[in-house]
Amino acid sequence: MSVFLRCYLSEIIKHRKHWTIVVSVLAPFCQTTLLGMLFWFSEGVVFRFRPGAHFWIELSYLAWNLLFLPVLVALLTEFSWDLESNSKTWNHLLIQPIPRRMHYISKLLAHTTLAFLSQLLLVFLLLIGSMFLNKNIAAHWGSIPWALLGKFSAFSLLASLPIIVFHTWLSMRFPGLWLAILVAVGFIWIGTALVSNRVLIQVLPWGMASYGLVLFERWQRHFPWALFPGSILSALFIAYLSILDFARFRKPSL
Amino acid sequence: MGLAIRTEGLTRRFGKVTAVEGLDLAVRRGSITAFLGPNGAGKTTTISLLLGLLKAHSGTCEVLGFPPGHPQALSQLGAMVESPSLYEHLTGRENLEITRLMRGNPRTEVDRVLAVVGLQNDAKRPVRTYSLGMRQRLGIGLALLGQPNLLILDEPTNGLDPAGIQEIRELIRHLPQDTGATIFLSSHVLAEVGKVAQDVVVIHRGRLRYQGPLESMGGNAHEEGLLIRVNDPTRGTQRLAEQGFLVHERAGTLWVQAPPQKAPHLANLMVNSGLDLYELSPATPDLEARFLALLDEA
Repeated sequence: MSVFLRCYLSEIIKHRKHWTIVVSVLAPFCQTTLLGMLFWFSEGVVFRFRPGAHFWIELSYLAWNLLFLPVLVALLTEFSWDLESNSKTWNHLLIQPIPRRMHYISKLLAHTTLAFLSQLLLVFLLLIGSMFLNKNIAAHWGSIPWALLGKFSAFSLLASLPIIVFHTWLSMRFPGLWLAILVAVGFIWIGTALVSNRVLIQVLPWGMASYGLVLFERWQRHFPWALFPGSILSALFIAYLSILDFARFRKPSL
Repeated sequence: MGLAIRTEGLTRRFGKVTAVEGLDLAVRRGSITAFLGPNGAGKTTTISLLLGLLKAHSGTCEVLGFPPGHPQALSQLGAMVESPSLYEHLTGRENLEITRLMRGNPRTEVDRVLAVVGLQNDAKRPVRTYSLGMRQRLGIGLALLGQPNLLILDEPTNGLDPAGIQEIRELIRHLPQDTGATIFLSSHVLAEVGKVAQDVVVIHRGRLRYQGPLESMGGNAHEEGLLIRVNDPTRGTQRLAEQGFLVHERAGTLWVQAPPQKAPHLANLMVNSGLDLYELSPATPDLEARFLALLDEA
């Protein structure tokens, strides 16, 4: 087994029974429950945006990309770094015979894994929710738009990558729950004002997620697949700088 | 027999404070070496330098023949720095599993270590339910993974009750026989290291005060002294010091460096000073008296 794989597996063990798992499950669950209730009691609104199943997917991903995803990533990364600080494990980790950068890379990948699993859970819950709501407002609900669901989930997975990379660094360098949440929500909303700038949304870590606002509008929906290579390159660059920063910054706690 | 740890002129500063200054260490392979010093003496800084957690400002250092922090050195050593590094929400076994995976040890290593530290029956319990002694044992277990050639334990009995101290002491005492490892053990619980260590290193204010066999610490191993108990130990100490005796006071008892023949003289001195003499008996200095003497000399 390679050093990389061993580090990643050891990192995954740390998240068992931890708050990181709880928030990864709770975020999609809370969102689906809240929106599900809204749909259940707002048949008139659903009628205006029919077919209802489309609107269910559109509104869910709007809420996910602009609110639940950034908050989830902020909480996830914050709790994850906090786990090491609270357990006072840094000295122990840094005297293991593996390169320092490996600790950071495995943590980053663990965050990505959890955020991705959370988004897969969201897809599952959206399908369950759709079947459930179909019973209440079947007249204008329609069938599940599989292609739209696939596109939105793929967009959301790719858009989350730069956010995960950025928040993994932010929580390592500037720990603090409220700071992380403030940055997550604040920057996403600033991003919504910049969605027309194609360069900025590729460079800014929260740019692509902010673009979720545009995708909500059916009549001008166009998934910006061509922008993802640039966005992912930016994320890789931030990850590279973060790894260098971690290797230099992480001092023993004496 | 070679050296497990060797430093020459090791120096580390934090701003204007020099934590370790010109430290020359030589730790024999296969020995249990106690690293003694009062709080703030520079023990943890020295250990961090040995492990490569900190960089020295000057001097050289070799751990198992490699520079500090070298992967070859790290793969052959296990360490517990200050307090055990444990994930409270995970079980003892899961904690060991994390380090085992990182070190690339076989799966059987976790069971072996659990047996060595006597935690087989508690391995499936979350660490947050462990007693302090169990946590310390698990911390030592983490350091034992991979059967290291060198174990560096920083204050392993810190905060333990007497029963816990006894447990850890017995564990450490048998490790060199069971594993052949060199043990470098820092502590300020002087009486404890005296029961397990063969060699002693004493530092104070970052400087080396003594290095060598335990029995030679503070000079003559069989150095004679007298124990004196009087009604006013402070005044007794003062009078003895005025007469040129080396004296240490602990818990109201005075230890005086003097041969037994001096007993009548000391008895007269105490009585003539208006003190009530309760006890005067011969005694060899214990480890703590020797240690205090070294610090006094500093």
